[in-house]
Amino acid sequence: MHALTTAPITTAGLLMRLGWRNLWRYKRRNATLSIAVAVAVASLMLGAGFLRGWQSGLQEDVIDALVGDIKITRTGFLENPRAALTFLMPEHLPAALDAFHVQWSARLVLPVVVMSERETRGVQLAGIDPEKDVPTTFLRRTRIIGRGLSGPNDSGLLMGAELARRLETGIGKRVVIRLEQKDGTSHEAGLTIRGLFDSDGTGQELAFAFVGRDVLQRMVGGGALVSEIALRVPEAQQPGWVRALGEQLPGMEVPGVSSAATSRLEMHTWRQLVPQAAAMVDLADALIWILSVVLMIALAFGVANTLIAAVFERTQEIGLLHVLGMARRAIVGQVVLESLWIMLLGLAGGLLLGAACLGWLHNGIDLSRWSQGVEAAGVHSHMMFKLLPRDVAAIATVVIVLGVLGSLYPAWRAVKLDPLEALHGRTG
Amino acid sequence: MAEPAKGADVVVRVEHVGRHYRQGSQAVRALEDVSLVIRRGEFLSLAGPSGSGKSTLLNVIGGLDRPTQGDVWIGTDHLNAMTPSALATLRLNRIGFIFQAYNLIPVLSARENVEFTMQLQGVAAPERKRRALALLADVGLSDLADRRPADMSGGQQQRVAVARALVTEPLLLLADEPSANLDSEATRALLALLRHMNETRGTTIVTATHDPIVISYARRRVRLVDGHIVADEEGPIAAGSSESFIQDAAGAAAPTA
Repeated sequence: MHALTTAPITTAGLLMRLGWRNLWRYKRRNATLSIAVAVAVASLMLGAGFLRGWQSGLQEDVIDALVGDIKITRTGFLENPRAALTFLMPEHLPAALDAFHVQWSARLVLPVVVMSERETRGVQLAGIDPEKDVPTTFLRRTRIIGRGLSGPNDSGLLMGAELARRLETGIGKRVVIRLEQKDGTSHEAGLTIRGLFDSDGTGQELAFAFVGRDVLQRMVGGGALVSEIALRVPEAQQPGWVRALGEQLPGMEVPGVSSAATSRLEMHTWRQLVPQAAAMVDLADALIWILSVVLMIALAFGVANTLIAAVFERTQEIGLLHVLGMARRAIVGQVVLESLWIMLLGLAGGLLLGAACLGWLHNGIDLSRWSQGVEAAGVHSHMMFKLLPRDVAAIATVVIVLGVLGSLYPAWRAVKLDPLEALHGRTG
Repeated sequence: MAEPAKGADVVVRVEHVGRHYRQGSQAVRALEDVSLVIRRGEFLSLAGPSGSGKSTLLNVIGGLDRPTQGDVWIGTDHLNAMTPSALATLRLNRIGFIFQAYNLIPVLSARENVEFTMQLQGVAAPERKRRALALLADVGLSDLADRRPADMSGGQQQRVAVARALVTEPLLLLADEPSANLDSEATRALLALLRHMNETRGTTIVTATHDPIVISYARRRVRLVDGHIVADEEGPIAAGSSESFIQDAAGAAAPTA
């Protein structure tokens, strides 16, 4: 058999040149396809930006709703949030957490009944240290009517504007708080409403009320009790934090990491605490891929169609390549590279167009007209667009992979041409 | 199985080759028991009227068509046993082709067209450029090296095709109706070039043609009729016999020139 073969490296250079020049040979057709790819890529960037913005907002809302990225509670408290399952802050823990240089806060959050002169409602009453809790919860984003809490000893009550409306009460009025104390007895105390918070939507306004942590501790009895320690840690670092905290807190049960029958405290990430929200956040990732693949599959048919036309128009030329001894894989390579050039031009144009659109929308869009509906979908009334580098990488990957896939059939047609028939302009 | 080609100077050996196919309901016997040996340095024309089988024989020799019977060797390579990929490699490295329609790649310049097969072979860029420019100079196209085919005349394009066919120094140059689209002046220029290459480089040249001018330039003239070799004349064209051979070889087909 013949010993000589073709050279792949120099052939690759030749194929790139042929592919590029053929691109300009059919300017209008290829430009149309490239523009279609560019519009699709820009649309994908906007779609992904919207989904990522929704995902980010949803995750932020969940974590800000007094969940935190990582939460330490007494074992059993999450299933049965009672004063009896609160705990005294371990003495060494504040220093240990401060040593980690992480935002943290120790709170006492209990279910209570709030009674006004006219109405009664159940809410979560959170005893907080404003200095630590306001920056790490949704309170930092809310508009305060009246005044907020000044410190852990502030006995004023801060409640949601919507809750006040439902209770038919307001700033300066007193309400009665009924709660269960540490020893299980029922206790009532009167508090004066000093401020109302107006948040994005009404869910948080109805769910929470706030008072100084020391004040609530005195109402519960039993000393400096807390129900939870919440930490703010970037998601990528959370597994490391969970391990590190587990080592700092011997005897702590960390689901999936450790289990101690004698443990009194347990630690969860926000994903473990609110799995439904975590699933919705993950859904955004899947939606970006699905959107990219569906849109690009449609375009891949366009690519295939264009390249089939190109193959048939250049039957004689492809026949010549066969006759002159171009290897079949090189002929496949030429068709695939032609597709890649179209897709890469479209991708580049699309990335620029998408970036321009996202730049134009950098202040987000106001959805407040539909605030009730968008809140139900977990979307902020002011929707921000957000695009991650990995989203751009995913879009580029899908474009390139489907560009190659879309060119395989035309390439196969080119390879199957009989050299002699093709040379005479017959497709065989 | 026939014996492989014998003798170092044998370039092509065709033994009892037949090529039959169906065209609609009709059986066509394009070649029938054709045997032929072509030696190194020959300038041979396959002549005959349309449908005589000369192009089919050229395609069989070039590995573009497979015989339905018989055996074909190029040097020591037995074409019958080769895969399409192996045949492509053989064509790339051993055979140069010239076609009646020039068949240059339109998006490449004259120099790039000449470099094309060298690039497939993996010849380094500086060497490719040097050889391509030298050969373009040989065919008188130095000043058109950067022109694309669309900006050249038919004769110029055919000379580029000759340069492309010769640049890899093939064992064999096959030319199918090389003068079909050329006027008589361009045809004579092309044939002078081919003869020059044949004499100076020792390139073995086989043409399939019914053009009397092309036939007159060949040193050996093989005439086919209805798929059979009916005459095989070698040497310079002798007065009288050569004229009749040319007339017979050209057959009923009108010369293009």
